[in-house]
Amino acid sequence: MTSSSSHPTLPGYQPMGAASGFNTYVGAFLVDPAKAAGTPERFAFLPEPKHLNGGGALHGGLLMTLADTFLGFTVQEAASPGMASTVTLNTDFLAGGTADAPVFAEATITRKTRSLIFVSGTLTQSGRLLMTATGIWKVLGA
Amino acid sequence: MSADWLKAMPATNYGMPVQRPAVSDFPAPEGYPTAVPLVDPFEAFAFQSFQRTNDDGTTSFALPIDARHDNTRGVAHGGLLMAFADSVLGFAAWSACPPGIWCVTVSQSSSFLKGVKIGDLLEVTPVVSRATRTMIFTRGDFTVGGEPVFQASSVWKVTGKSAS
Repeated sequence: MTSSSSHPTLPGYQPMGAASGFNTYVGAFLVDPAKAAGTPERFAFLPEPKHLNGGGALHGGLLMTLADTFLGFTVQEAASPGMASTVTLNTDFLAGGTADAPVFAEATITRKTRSLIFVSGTLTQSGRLLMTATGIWKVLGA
Repeated sequence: MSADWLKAMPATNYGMPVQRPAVSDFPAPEGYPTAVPLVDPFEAFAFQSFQRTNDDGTTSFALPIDARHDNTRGVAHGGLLMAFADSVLGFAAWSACPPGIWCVTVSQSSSFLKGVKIGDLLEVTPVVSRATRTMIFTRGDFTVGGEPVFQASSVWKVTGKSAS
């Protein structure tokens, strides 16, 4: 799911493989391919000024896009070789983010049934919690 | 292709500069002659929405789904739908705020009922469910051709900070 080259700004992180058209358009979605077994999936995103709102904070829609992408990637790993799509995503905005530091994410599968996958995650920046997110994905065809 | 809606956009909105859309070479969707004057750089980068005022005083919004929004399977990325929801529910929340007062998203719940395809026109008439001195509750049912495809509700915090 990942390419082989480490990201120049964030050593250890690599571009997410199979990124969608919208993700490619939005920016740099990165994944840590070497995280230890049994620990949360780890991700990073490099924000730019185009990701801000009029108040100078990272836009809520950008943060929700990160949550959907990173939680969805984690779900897809659990659903493979099946495909899954988002049914519901709940996002709480704990603090505003900036465009000048990477956003890190973690995601964990909380329950997996035959047809549904439950996942939760966080977004942090400079050690500060920006968002908590929980979601349910449907395994297509199940 | 002429974009009359682009020429008609104001220079400022809420006392902030209106952002020029990243893509503008398309006509306004039927029934929605006015482009939303987006002030958030991320919104103008990701989409351009349109609006109309209805006879009952409510405002409806529409979003043309284009090739930028593709989530590899010919359907729009969930993040794009949630960003549009944040935008229109924000307009509803701000309409319930005293002039010059900021409000910010505290929480949003989003449900994906059906895939939204590239080329679809996504429509919504957002609703303010309740507004208190410190909190505003909003919701929206999003449709394509009258069929429900997405729903979102959000809670906004009134910050009390002046926008200008």
